[in-house]
Amino acid sequence: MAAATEPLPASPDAINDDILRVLEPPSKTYVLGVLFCGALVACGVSAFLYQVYWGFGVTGLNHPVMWGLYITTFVFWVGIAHAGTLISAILFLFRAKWRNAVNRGAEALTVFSVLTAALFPLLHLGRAWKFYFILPYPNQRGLWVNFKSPLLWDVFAIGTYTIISILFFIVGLIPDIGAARDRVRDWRRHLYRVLAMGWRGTSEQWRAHSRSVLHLSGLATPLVLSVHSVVSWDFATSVVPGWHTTIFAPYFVAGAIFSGIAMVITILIPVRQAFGLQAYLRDVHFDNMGKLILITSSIVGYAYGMEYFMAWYSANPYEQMSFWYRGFGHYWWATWTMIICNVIVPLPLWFKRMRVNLAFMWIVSIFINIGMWFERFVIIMTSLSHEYDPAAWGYYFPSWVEWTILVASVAFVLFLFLIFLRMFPVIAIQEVKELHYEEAH
Amino acid sequence: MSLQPGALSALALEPAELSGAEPADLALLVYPSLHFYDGRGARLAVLNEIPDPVLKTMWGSFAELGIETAERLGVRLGDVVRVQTEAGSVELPAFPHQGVREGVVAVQAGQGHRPVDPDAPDPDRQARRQTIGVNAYPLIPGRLDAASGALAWYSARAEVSATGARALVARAQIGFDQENRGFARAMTLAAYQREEDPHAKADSGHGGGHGDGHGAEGEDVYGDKPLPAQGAASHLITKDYDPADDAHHDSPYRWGLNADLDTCVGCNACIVACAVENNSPIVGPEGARAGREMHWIRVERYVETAGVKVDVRHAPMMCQHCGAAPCESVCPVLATYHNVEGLNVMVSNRCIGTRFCSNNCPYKVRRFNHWAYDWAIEEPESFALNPDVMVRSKGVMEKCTMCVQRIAEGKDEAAREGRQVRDGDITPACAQTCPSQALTFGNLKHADSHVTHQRHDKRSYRILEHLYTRPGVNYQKAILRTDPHEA
Amino acid sequence: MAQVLGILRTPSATAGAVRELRGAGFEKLEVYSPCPSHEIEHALDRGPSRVRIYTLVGCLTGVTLAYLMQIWMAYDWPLVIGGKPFASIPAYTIIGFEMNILFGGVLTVAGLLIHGFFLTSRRDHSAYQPSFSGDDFGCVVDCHDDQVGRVREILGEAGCAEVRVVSA
Repeated sequence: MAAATEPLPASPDAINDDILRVLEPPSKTYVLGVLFCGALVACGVSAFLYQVYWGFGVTGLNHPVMWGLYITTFVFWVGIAHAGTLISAILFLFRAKWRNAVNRGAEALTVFSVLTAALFPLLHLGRAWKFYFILPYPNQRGLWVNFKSPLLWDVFAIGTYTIISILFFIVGLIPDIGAARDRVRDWRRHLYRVLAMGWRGTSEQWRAHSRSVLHLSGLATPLVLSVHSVVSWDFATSVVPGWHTTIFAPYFVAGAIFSGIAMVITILIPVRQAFGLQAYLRDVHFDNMGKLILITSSIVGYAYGMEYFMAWYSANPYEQMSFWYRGFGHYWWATWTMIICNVIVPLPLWFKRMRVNLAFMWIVSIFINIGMWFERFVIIMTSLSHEYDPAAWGYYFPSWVEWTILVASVAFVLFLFLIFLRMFPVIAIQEVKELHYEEAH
Repeated sequence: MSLQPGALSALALEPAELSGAEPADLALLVYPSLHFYDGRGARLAVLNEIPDPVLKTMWGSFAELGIETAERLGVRLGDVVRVQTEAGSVELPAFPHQGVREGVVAVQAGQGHRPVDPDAPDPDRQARRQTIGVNAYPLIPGRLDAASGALAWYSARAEVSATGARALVARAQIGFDQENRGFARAMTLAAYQREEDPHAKADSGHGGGHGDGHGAEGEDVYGDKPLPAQGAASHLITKDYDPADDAHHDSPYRWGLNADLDTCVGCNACIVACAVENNSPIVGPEGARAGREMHWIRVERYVETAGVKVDVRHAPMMCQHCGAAPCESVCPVLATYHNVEGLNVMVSNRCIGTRFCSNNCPYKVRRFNHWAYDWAIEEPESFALNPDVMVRSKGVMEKCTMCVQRIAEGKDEAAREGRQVRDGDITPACAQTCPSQALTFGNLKHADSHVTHQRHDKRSYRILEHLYTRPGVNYQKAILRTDPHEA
Repeated sequence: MAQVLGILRTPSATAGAVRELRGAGFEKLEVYSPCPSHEIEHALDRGPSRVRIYTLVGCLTGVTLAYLMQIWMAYDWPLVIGGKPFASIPAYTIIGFEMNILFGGVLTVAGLLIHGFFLTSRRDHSAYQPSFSGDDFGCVVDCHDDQVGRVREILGEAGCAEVRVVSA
């Protein structure tokens, strides 16, 4: 399927060398990148401490818009976190072989995104230092928690997703850590020896390993579909016009996969260029991811249209007003940014020529990232600022504290990803090898 | 008891002679403010923070202009204008609205005091630290009125010109159109006098009467056409309920409130009483501009226009103490729940500030502590706090409790006398202070209580009842003396 | 006892060697491979891994625990929330599902650790060499000293690039 000009890995052993070469001592650019991201993260932490000290007055939140940029960004990162599990688990179950080269990077992105996402509900708490109240632990008050609240479902869904995606990531990584242990000669070999836990690739180990991966995929597939459904129910189970709709769960899941794949493309194209992984991240991968973007973009576009149709068809004046406001009210710019980025910009991907044009794919993926962030912004802000009571309509615009924390969250994911690049193989060696032998067979 | 038209003409007053540079200039009207009167109340932060009954503005003075006059001058809301008379001039933000006659510029008296303590460190006490609004008195030339011998207030023309500057205006309510949503309802006197029994009517979706009044459907006037149902979406009502069921079956009480829109004059005294009773913090001009005022009750002002007549309605809006409250089910930490007496209880100490309850409240009556307002309170001002009500820290939600401290006191009193609470034993601060007795508190489980009778009245309705929130607060429609359609 | 190591280059060749050895009655086999291979697994024919039991037990425990926890906590201090029943089973299904996945996943990994690492860690792995994580497949046979010749013969016929006795 690959174009004739594309290089192919020479031998299974060359696979190890090619991929583990990424782990070699870093360049100056890399170190500067890590430091820059680290500095941005430090800014975000400072902004958060400032907010904790003074209170939520430092944000732009007001009455009636009580959720703002933090929840937008939370949903954004949870969405990004869906790509890894989709590629590793769902495509694994569907036996889509092309996933083998991209799944490690996507899984890493999943883990880092879900860790980042999980921070946002905590730092959006009015009393962040009391976050443990939300856990059902025995306490002297004798009080438990409200299991009927969608926010508690979130705690369990995001918590489960974090743990399962980390476990999935580590399980897939163990054989590659074994390979790294056998190749890397610097101080990290001690680290890899511990982390490999005595992995030698015996038949018994592979038997347990394959079975675990299969079962984890089977568990992660419904989980990944449930997580964004649960996040969507944060909105859909409320009475807020514009939120209270049954389309939200599938709409959010499609949007999550859409944004997740876009972020995978955004990150993998520079990695491919920087580390010379052209033989592994080939046209077929970007072609297939382009197709996934197309289908999810179509679903999301259909959902946008269907929301407006249902608002009209329901004859519910509150819904109608809410959606009129969405398109033509104070936030019209956000709504139209969302529609252009998510529905119009991906349209050229219907042509294969555009899907294998990596420069174009990279630019499209950036637009989709922006558009999907705006989708959550639009859903939250337009609905909350124009609810039932006309005397309590309002407007919200984020403050510098919120923007700083948003930028810091992007930097945090990049920071973790850069560290990961130099510490662990960014492409799943054993899976690429498995594919290599199967193709040779 | 309205004044008969023409009654005043017997007084035969002379029209005022206005001095001024140009006859084209606007007539200056300096009038006493409802909150500060002539200025004696201006030092009280709590009075500065209540919305003006008509403008719904807080913290400041405004040059009120007619809509057409403002258009002629090229002035929009928030544009700082200079009002110049022969006696003096002031600069203040313009506020065009339809409640002012064209050709008039109106300014409230009683503001613009110089700060008593410019160095006060505390940002919450803006009234001490900075000048609020402008003093309109220097605009009056100071002539005496021939008839009364007193100061002639209405005696000058003023030149109004835009300065080019803009000012942020703190507004508690932006729009006065209720968008057919049935918040403040009314019925004509003729319809009321027909004495139709609302329960005899077959309402769409109402599952049969059990004594809970649903109001006289079809008698409301919205805009220029009557709607078949009250509120634009009341056709969505599917279930019937009894508010008495929203308390524990062993509890003798289900507390409820009634707001009579026919007697409510929109004076906002309930807001002051509530703020003082419940230790509501003052957020200051910046907080008010950001929309973070902490009032547990507000008075919504709606203007319905039918033909040439203007129909202004006021609806007090506080926590509805819903039997099936949307706020409760979304709180992850059980900080808000339904108690045995039917109250929607907010435990601020348990709150971690997810703020979902406020998002999910269709009435938007929950208030969030954006700052640590209570830090500003130190002796001796702390003695002004109500010791029966806690002060809330930053990051927690709060809302109307129906003065639960007074309910506890009333129940204790009744228990000492070995009886149950009687009607009138307990009065929340808002109801106690209401000059027109528009608010009534009582036990909805008691068939003979005042609130139960009011709830069964044919003027009775609940706001957003189609959401099946089972509100504990009942509203009674205003009565229109004449039918706007016939005007 | 002796240990003979044969180094092969492909999964199919390794599977062939395993089939030959087992046909000749050698069942004490250990195969090192750089990637999983269904062919080798079929040739060894050791049946499905026990990990699947762990997953099942984990899932059932999780979902049961979740419902019991939620219902018990709702009645331990009953509070009326939004006019709903104390135990709202439909609402509890979500956490029931999530804990089903959580426990299932965690126990699956526990099963992997137990069966892939702890129970096999006491075996003698002196035959392992770093190229087994590269492109070499290792087939190690435990046999009596007098069978070494026969094993070398089978491994050689199966296409081993290198055959040597690891310990005698």
